[in-house]
Amino acid sequence: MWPFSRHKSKVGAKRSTRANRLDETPKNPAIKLMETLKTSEETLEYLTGVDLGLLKDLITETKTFSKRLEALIQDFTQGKSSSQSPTLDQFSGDVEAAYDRLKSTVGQSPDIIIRRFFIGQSHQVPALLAFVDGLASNEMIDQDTVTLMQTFKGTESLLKNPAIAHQIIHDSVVSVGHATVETKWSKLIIDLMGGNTIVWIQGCPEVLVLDTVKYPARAISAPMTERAVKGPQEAFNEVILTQMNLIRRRIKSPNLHFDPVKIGQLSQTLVVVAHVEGVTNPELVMAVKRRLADIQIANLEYSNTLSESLSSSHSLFPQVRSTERADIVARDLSMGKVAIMVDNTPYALTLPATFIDFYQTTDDYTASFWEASLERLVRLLGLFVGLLLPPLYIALSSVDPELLPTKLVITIAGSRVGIPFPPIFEVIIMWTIIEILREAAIRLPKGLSTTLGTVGAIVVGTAVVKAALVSDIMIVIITLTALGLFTSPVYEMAVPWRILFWFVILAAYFLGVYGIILSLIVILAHLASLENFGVPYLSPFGPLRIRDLKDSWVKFPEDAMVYRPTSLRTVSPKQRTHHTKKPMVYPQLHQAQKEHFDDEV
Amino acid sequence: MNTGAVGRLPRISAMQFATMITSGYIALGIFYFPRQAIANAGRAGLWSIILDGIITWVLMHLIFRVNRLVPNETLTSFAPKILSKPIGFVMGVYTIVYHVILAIAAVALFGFVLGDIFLPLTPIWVIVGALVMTSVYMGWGGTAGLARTLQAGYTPVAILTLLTGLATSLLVRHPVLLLPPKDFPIVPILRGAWQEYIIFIGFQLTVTLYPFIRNEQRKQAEKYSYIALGIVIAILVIEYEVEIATFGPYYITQLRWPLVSLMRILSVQGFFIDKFGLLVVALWTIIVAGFVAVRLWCLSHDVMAMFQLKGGVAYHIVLIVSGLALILGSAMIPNAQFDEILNERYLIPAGVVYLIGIPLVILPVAYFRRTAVQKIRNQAEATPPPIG
Amino acid sequence: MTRFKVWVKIATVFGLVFLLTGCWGNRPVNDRILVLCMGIDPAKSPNQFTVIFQSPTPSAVTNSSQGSSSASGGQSEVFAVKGTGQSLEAAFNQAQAKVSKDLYLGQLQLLVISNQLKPMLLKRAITSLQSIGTLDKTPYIVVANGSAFRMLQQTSPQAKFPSLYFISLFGCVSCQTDALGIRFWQYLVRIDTRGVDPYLPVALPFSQGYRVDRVALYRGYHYITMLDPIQTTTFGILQGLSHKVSVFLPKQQATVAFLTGPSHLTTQVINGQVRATFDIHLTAMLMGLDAHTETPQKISEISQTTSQIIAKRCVALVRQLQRQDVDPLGIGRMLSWQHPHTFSNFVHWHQEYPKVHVVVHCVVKITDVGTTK
Repeated sequence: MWPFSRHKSKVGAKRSTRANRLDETPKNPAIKLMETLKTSEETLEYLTGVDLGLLKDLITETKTFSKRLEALIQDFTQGKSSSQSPTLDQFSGDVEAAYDRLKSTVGQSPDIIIRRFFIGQSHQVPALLAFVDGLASNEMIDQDTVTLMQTFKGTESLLKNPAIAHQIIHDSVVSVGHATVETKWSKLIIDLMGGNTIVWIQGCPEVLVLDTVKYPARAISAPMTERAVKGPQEAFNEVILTQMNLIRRRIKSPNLHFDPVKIGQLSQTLVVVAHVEGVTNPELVMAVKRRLADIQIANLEYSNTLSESLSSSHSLFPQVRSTERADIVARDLSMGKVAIMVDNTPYALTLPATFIDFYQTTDDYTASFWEASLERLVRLLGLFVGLLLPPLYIALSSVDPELLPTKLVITIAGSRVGIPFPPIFEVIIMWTIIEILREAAIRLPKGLSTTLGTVGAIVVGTAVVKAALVSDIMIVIITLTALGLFTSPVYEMAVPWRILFWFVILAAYFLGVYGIILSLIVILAHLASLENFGVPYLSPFGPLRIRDLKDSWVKFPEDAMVYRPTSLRTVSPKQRTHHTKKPMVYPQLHQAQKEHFDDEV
Repeated sequence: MNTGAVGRLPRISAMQFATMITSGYIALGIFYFPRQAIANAGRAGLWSIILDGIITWVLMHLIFRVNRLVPNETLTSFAPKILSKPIGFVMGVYTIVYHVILAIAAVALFGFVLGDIFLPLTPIWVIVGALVMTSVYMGWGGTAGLARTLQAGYTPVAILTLLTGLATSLLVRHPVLLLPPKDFPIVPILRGAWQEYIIFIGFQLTVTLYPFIRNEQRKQAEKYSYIALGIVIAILVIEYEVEIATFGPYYITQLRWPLVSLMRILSVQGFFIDKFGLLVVALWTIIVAGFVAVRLWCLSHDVMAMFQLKGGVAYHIVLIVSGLALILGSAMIPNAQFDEILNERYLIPAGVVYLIGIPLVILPVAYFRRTAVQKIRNQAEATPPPIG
Repeated sequence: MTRFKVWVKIATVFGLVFLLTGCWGNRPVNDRILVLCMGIDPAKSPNQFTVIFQSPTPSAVTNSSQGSSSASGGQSEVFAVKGTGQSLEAAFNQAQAKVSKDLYLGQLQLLVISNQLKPMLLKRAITSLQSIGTLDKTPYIVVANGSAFRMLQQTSPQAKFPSLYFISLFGCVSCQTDALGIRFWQYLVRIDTRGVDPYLPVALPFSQGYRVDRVALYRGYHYITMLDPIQTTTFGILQGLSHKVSVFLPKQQATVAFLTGPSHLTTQVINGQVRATFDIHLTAMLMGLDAHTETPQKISEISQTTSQIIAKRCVALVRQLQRQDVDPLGIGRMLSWQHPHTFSNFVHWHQEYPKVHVVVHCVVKITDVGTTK
């Protein structure tokens, strides 16, 4: 018995002649139109030789359009008759109309599977099912959805209460773990594209959205860009769910929130804003969400696209840290930062980032604080060497030779005898070679790039010196520079220095050591003026925060870092108790060894 | 009127305030230090230095009292309200002109020093121009940016200078001169103190900077400024001792820039840079650039307060114009001797008059016009702290 | 508003470019002639002097950077350019006219002055040297007996360039009997300070190199005399600069070596009479004493004898200095610090200096008796 008394006659009529759902030749006014068009096309072709392809497209489009219109009208009239206010966006409950609508829109593409079927065997309720081939799990659709629905025994209850049919199906038929309900077409289509299976049931305005998502995904691999010696070796893959899982595994507290945002009119990319409630400053979370909501773009492909909108200015320096390491994201979250994950990008963003953040790595926290401090100081040294060595060479060898010890001056002068270029041009030659080699090594296949590196280093280096284009001291300097600039553990941080390098070089060329110092002041002033989400970029040096200096160029022992960074203004500033308990005060904590000792005696 | 003072621009912390105030003096006088004191008082010049420190302490105290009258407004904006408009205007013009000349003297001096020892072939205006442009850029980011830059750059250089100063103690040839002098020739000491006072001239920018301190940190900021002053005096005393024990009192009076000369004779063997002291002198660029940047900042705010300009663009325009004025002004100073005469004859008297005059005029007037002051305070801030 | 900002940025860039339109001081080191030594000699005409600028030859420079120690076929590794004039600047200009590259004084390491320079000429040269900005006052300064040019021509097998030889010599205190190295600024301090006269080490060329064991004494810019080696070591002891001084005691057949220690000068004014006291505390090593006779009494006897010998020598030297009216020991300077009023009452210190009563207390303590017994 059909549930809708209002449409009894119509439905009944339909039921008597079973619709052929396999052969798709629906009786449609559009066909008439099409036939007319076809004849006119032939006539036209005969008469004028109009492009056939164009006309055919036009016909198909018209056909689809008329179908869509029809479905819309159907939905609209039915919606009008129901108690709800009529909107075109609302599913009316008519499966056929839904089928037409789907078929005429997304259904045209071959990866969208739309299938009509009946629920139950004794009393058959028409239903419609759609999913994207490849994004949804076929087994789940076959075994956990279609089979179960087709063999459902209690169809009578469905017919009795069509309005809650979705609930009955949800409660006692489908065995898909996660199922939700949606009524709006605009949402449904996006859910469908995301790999969900959508089930429309005749007469029920609510539509079931079954989570059958099963993306083709890369396995979780070791991080490629941020390697660590001892830390966990898990990097994100492109699937946002996996990213969330990896973080959830590290922070099990229910306070960890993932707030979804959709960005991109075309791409409808899922962006997740992660933060820990009770730690992260709620104003920061709000500000991040507001900024994300403000982004109007067609296609969000990479997380880096967001990082520009999340930065305060077009500075050379990265203001958002992008990482593929799950442990770094978890750490940053627990520090009170906000993490942003973008579907299809294996790099999550954490913010607000300060300058020193880009010099902290996983290894700093898995090694002893001695080692960590040493490594950080080495990075600082690398930065200084990379940024300042060639400018200092230019300044000291050309503008202020009086600063050098005599023997070194003689050595430099000796190595430069016969070199036709001034030092600045030597730097330009060598740096160009280095940059070209670097770029080539990245783009080439792996096997070749190693060869290229060797060839470049040895052959070009030796040849350039032999050809007396560059002095041999310059080779040493440039090699150190190239290595020094890449001691920065985060790749993005090497880029600004590579650019500012030239600024310092020019300053050194014109004004010597004085110029270098002036350029450094300018860089410092720039860094100090940067501020993102109210967090000064140069903290803890810029606004001097002595408490935070414990985790800067020198890392203190873990038990000294009682507080979270001040600059983040977290809700709960403390992250651990004070010091390790001393054996003299708390003997019970240290007794095990004493007893052991006694036993031996 | 509240040019950036009331709740519009970011505020600075107590320590940043102290750093900015400290970088507002020293830079001009450090190069002449301690020639004038020794030239006048001989070995007793030490007492001149200490006397200068004590006087500065007192004056700083008085200036802070002036600031506390209306802690949320700069002097240039509240002085006309208390003293009547013409007097306030005159005071504002005086402040502005004084800042300009002080900054010109500083950049010109540094240009001469660098031109003499580092870049003999480079025109002075290039050295000065690069310095002023750097300073303008330092001030570009506003109060907070400037304060942060100074915190991150000034402090390490100051520490490095102190360490180098201690290293120069290896050069000390006459330890007997380290003993404090026992005689007190009053007049020479006073004369030395007067001529040496150039080293402390410049801290009057508190009158503009005070409102930018976070409200709850004002007391602390004053405390830190006193501490910083104490440290500065201690450093000066150390440098004085090292210098006099190295060169002896006679030779110092022959030197144009004694401290630079002291730094220049410090050489480190077995290092990439032989003349390490000279490198430290080059690093003083930060101290001078800080001095000029703070002054430019102050100048821009005073000009904006006086002409009631508002907004970031106006600030940047005024900043650039002031910078150009400094470059042009310094080009008018022909040589280092002229610069020194400018300091001695004009800048010291004018600065001291300002430092003593401001509290002397404003504090009594404010005492008699308590209700008016209270009204201005209430306008400027919702809950002003009690007077005192 | 944004357009304004763009204009500001463009203007800034142009301003920068404008500022950077030259490369004023930029000249690579190989395009400069690095003057490492400078010598000043009296010229033939009475009112002029000759300045010698000595720098390494390009081939020596190349060899040095390639680390080869062999001299390039007996060729000289240094070359000198001479200039003569009434002022240092004129001499410099004349020398500059003879070379194709920039004569660069920023790396000057050694200044050689002839002891035959007239005071007026010396003063003129020193004043000019002081005011050269790039020349910091750290070069060592030595006196050549006669011609500075001849001294600079001398080569030593130990170091390629004379400047390097003297840098390593004076840079190492234990490389000399007395730490005699005087830097230019120390010389200037002595010249400008009242109550003290400058002294300078003398480098005498001999066939194998240089011999530096004497000092030349000046009264202001006047050359007075040269002390002989023994007097020089005594002078070093009085200054607290001695390092490898040894005394042979013929009676005991023993040598007291490595006499090292501070010397304190104090001045007193007693009834208008200035009295200067040198307190010298030396430590020493006892060598060459017969093992059987090494008793505490013997050692103390030796130390007493040594003290007496040294005190005697010191007194003799001071007497001689007083006779010659030069005060390189700085008695007047110490007086001016310790008794400023007395000192300032003297019109000319040099009139008072010979009258000063000088006392020398010397204590030699033998701290090291060697490893063999």
